[in-house]
Amino acid sequence: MDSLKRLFGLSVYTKISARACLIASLVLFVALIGVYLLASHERHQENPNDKIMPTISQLTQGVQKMATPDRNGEITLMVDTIASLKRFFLGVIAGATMAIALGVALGLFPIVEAVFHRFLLYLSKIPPLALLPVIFIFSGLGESTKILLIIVGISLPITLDTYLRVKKDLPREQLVKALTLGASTPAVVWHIVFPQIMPAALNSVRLNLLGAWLFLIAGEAIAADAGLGYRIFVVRRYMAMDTIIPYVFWIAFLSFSLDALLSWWIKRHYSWYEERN
Amino acid sequence: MDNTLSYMLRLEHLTHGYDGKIVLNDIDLKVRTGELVTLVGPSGCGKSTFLRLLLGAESPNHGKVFIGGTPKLRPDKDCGVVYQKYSVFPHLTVLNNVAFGLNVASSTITERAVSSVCSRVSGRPMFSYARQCKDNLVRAEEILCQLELEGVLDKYPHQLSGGMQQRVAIAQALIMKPKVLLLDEPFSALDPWVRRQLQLLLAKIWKSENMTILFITHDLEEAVYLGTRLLVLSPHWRDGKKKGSGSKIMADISIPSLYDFDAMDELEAMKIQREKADDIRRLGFEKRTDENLIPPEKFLLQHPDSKI
Repeated sequence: MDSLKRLFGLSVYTKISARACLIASLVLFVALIGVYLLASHERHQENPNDKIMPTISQLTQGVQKMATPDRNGEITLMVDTIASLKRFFLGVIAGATMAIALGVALGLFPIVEAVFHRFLLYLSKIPPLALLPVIFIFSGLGESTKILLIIVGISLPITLDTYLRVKKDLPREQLVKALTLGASTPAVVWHIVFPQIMPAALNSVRLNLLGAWLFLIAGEAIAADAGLGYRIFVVRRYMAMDTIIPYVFWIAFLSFSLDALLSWWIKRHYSWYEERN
Repeated sequence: MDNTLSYMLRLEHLTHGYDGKIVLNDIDLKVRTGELVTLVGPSGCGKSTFLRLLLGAESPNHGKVFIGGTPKLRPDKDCGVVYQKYSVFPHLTVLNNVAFGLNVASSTITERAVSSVCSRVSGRPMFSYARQCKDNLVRAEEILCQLELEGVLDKYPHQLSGGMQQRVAIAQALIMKPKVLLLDEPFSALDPWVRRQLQLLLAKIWKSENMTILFITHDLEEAVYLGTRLLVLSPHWRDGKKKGSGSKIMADISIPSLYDFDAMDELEAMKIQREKADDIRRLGFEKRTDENLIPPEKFLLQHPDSKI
């Protein structure tokens, strides 16, 4: 009884071992798969042609179909992944670079803040998906539109987050100190502000990766000839859950790996930041 | 001799405030090269505002600040500074923290960007800048050794104790040889023993480098212990019948030198300081009731350079 109480206690006095933690975090994964298999089995008992909840073997077949070369010798899954990742990276890198630079400028230079801050705050309240038709009308159905959508979608939140970090987390004393050591304004920005703000800004990028996926898939759903989002919306017409489900998990896996990669990068290159906090 | 050029730090009718509320009221001050001036004042008397004005991080509503004869407009190499917190750069190692000033001085930002890329590609220092950087590191190491920090060159500030971080901050400012070194409660967060050590260290450096130092603290004993001249900044004074608004320098006192630290018995030194501090406390450092507030001209202003 006592130990049970302890197990559900607050973090100040309850510790869970790494192994127990691993087991505990597997519980929901196993439960999800179990419930799915059970439900899928039930449905196939009633209707052997059920398409909504494919069985494991049907899913495997679906993956196989996508992962082996078709008539033209192209592997659909590969083509889709490459097309999507290309858009994703171009959009995220361009968007994040501009956003971080603008955020730093907003936080450091009162004149930039005075001109841009309220304006950007207002713009950031527009849901990017509401702008989707506007962007498609103005810049057509090409590649650049899909990349532009990602940029529009992620850059404002990253800009405003970086701005806040510069304002709140970077003590003014640091800037004065650098100036008293003879640094010029560009040197302060380059040697003091950017390196100190980078880990926080990259964490902000991490949080916005999900948004980037959202806008990528939305863009691909409307106009594309390849891509992960395009594919799931195409096969939806045939209710091909045996393709959709593996694709969704694949997207989740890619997104999870990118996030882990970025997190690892921050830990490695900004050890002072991780340890200090 | 009243040649204004012989003063390293000069304040003329410095008045500053926020939203119509006066914080500093008409402050005049002249500090000669080589003086170690300590400034005390009750909390909220405007010490931090005073520091920002001296650094040029804020411009005064009225009056001027001169460093070595030139008006102070923005923070630059003329004034070094050590704060209580946030003095060192958390993203640089101790060695790079100290070499920072030399590094930014030895090249423009484009040179640094180009040479850092080239050096990274080739794996060894390229161009004169990168070689200069190596020299800078050597000099930084020398100063760090003087401050007994040779064991932590490659550590980051968060890995050091508070006392060591402040040593790094001092080394960082010192290497640039500023005309005036400003210290804002640099030892206030430290243990008494570490604090005493750093006070001795600072006094030693001040003496050997003949520096001009302004040391801001809220601790009267520390101010008396370190200073050759002590200023009291206080908002408790009387303007005719009313209580004055904003802080003034209410006392400006020369302190007999206590800098034979090696020779002087520690206990003896502390006793003298305590007596001195009590004298100054009686003078008006502590808050008074409205009736016995003193008009500024009544204060005992013994320092030859002080003027009201």
